[in-house]
Amino acid sequence: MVSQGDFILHDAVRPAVPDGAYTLTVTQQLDPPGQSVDPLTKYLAVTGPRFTLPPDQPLSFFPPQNATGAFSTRLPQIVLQRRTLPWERLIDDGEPDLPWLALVVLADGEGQLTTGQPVDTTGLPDPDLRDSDTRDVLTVTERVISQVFPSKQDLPWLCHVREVDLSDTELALGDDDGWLAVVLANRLPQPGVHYTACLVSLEGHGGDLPATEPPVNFFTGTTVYTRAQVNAAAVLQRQSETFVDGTFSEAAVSEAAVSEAAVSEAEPPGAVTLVGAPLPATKPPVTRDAWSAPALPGVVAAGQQAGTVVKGRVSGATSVTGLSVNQVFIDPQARLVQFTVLKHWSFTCGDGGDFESLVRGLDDGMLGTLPPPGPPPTTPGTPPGAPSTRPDPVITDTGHVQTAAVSRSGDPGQAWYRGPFTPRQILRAEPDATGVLPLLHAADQARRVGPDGLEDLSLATAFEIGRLLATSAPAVVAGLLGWRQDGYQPARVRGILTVPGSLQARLRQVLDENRAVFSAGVAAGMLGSLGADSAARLGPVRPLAKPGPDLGVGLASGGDLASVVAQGFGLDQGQVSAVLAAGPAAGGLDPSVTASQLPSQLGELGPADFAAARAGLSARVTSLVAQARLLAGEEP
Amino acid sequence: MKVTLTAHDALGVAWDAKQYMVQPSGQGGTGLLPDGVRDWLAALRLTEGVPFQHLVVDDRLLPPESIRFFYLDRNWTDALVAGALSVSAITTDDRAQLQALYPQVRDELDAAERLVRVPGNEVGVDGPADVVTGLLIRSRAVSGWPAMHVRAYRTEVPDDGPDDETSRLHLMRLERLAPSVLLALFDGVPAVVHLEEPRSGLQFGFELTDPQPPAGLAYELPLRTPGTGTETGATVPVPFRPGAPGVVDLAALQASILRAVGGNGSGAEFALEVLRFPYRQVFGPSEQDPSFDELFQPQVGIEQIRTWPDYTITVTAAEEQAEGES
Repeated sequence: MVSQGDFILHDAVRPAVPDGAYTLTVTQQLDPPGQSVDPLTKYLAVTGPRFTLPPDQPLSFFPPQNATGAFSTRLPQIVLQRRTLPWERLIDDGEPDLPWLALVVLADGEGQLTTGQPVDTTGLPDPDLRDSDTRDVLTVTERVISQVFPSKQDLPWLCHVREVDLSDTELALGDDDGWLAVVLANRLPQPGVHYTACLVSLEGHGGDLPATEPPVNFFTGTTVYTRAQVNAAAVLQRQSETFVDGTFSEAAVSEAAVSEAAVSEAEPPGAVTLVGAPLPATKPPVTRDAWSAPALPGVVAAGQQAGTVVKGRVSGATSVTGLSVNQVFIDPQARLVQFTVLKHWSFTCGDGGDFESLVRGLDDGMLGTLPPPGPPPTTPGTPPGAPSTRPDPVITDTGHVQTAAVSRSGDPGQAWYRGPFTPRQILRAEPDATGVLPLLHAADQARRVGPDGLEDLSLATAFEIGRLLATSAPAVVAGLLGWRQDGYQPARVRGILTVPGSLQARLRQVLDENRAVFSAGVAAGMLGSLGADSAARLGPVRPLAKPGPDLGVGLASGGDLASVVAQGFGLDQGQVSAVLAAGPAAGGLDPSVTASQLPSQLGELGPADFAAARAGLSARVTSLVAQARLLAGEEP
Repeated sequence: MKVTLTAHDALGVAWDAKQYMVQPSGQGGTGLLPDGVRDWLAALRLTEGVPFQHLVVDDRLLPPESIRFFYLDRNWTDALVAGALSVSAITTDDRAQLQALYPQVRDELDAAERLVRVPGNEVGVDGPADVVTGLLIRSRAVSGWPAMHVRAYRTEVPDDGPDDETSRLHLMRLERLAPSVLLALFDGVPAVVHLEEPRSGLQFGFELTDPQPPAGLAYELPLRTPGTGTETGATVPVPFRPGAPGVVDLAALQASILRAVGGNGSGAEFALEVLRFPYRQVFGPSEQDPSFDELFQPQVGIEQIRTWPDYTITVTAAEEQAEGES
């Protein structure tokens, strides 16, 4: 168990059995030899996330999604809920210990991310084990792989497991056991660049990963492709989309001219190799209709990938955001590699805005301090706000703020208000010498007039808010009313009962016996001392039941008891008359025992009082035993 | 087999159940108020449910990227509770009863409000009321780092030391009122307040080399002693993949760490070296301790209020205090 504030790091938590299809064969050797049992063969599949990531798996991202901040000294990371997830699959059979997940951080244009592509299991083991029919695909050139993707030697250091104490965090991150898998990226974000982080599957890509080279202690570029290269590719891509009948549309041509001008401004001449190279690595498709003639080979190559949903956007001729550029336009010669993306998010690295710079830059003071004069500090990515034309609020030394208020007569004016949060400590009202603590009963009691003649509505507002909040919660209203009924009213009645008298004494006794059911107790006590028949004196007596119309069959309409009963139950009237004539003895009751003979206290009961019960019980036991015997098949 | 329930069983269950039965409100419990009402009123005392524009009346009192400290006005919260209690008083008689009970009710709520927020690893402490203070933060640090730690201490504690449990003030309420607005209430007057980066998302990282080489960007890694984790003061340069845009060669980094500080070369030791500890911002006394006047600059000073025509009518406790301090 991890103690509070600590956490434990583990190299890896590997599942006992990696995902995949297995054949289980059971054979049995018998003794003595010669006997044999057929071997049993069973097929089983261990499944897990493969082409998509379940929504509950990613617990947190760093840098935060869509965040802008100074992230240039930290490696991006994703935290996964299942501790074994990075080791549940194999890159290829030769590498049993390497994780199959890698977090790749790509700047704009360094890849193309397309969503909702059909799953392609060519070359992968167990092609039928798939958790989804569609996947997100990241298409990158070999150049990007060799520069940005992790090498096999890096992979063991990019995944680890943390065991943390869940009670230490406010939100617990939605995890259940405190074991989390963390996948790191190997690229340090650089200021001014927009990145997309992709959690990719390396399954089957063991041969694509770069080899290690001798490291250097510094780096120069911040992106694989220059901004101009990416922009030029984006323009070409737009042209291919507007390409009709073998000619470019006028708009596209003029746009291309503009963008080439933009490119040549941004880059020294000769630095950009615009596409148009003769041979694309991916051959154009053979099936083409007669209407389209091939133009740029790269355009055709892009055309065969058309119809995909482009993630990101190409706006104008000079800005590309996200991974939206078809890699064919950037490097037509390159071999393209497609990776399955399980999760992706984007962020922008800026100069400021990490936790340290944010909390360091907080403007501190007591509540009531106005922000420093001048325009409010602008945050990166937002335009500076216009200077406020509102007059500053008037705040007194006591923390009161002057606010606009409309008086009850409808006149607009000003009033003082101070909320519960004050810059100075306020002395609390305490009970006076006689122990009386003033209690407000209405909001108007708390209205005050300030020294300048304006009204101070602070406490009146508080009272009204409390009243409205209480009335908006039915359970609280019910609780308070119940409290009043159970608490106040008995107390009030007890106050009355301090007057001596016999009725009061009886009531006090009832009250003391059972305070909780006081109202019932009072009623019983009242009736007991007044006499049941005198209850009418307290007021009109409500009939116990509303009398129905006369049906002409009851005793009231003249029939005798035997005929009414016989008629009602469909019995023979003669038998009913006989039973009624015989009295209670016929029903099995002992007529000699009357209610008055029964002792009133249990302690006064003797063995004789139970004789009838005992006889009845033994008769019942006998009959039960007889029935049991019958059920058991015995003859009686 | 047919399952039967005998009268004996039923009686036994009923007898057992009796001890779990809820006592009628107003008696049998530990306090004067019914439990549900007491809990609700205690949370109300901590301004739970009070509209934000009544907490901070003007948006300029809490500008973006600011932190504001305050005292909780107990008269205000008492008035809030009085308003809620007035719902139950219907007749004059009820009001008289409520008035008689009110000191007791107030004391009971003073104890209950300290138990509103008691996380699993803390022991709630009740008792008579103390001064309640708090802070409001409006910042992107609140929205971007959702599990930020907020701690307040009664006495000064070392900035980088371990958590001092005895000096730490009980956190009575910690809530995000809006994605970027955080409210915290403390049980007592803090000497220092710590804001700390959430530990759940600790990252791996390096530091920029100072000065930077002319050829390009370079990073370095401050080393820690394996086993103890104390910083050695030495650094190793971070190796990068040649020709790549800021891609760290982690295998080479691990090898150079191993050469520099030794150890067993495990992944845990590598993580110990590369892990960046969470940043902790301390709000507390500084070398030049600012006077209260620097922390709070009202538009209308107490001197000016004294010149108002009806000043003698209402000398509130606050003004007395303000007078005492100035």
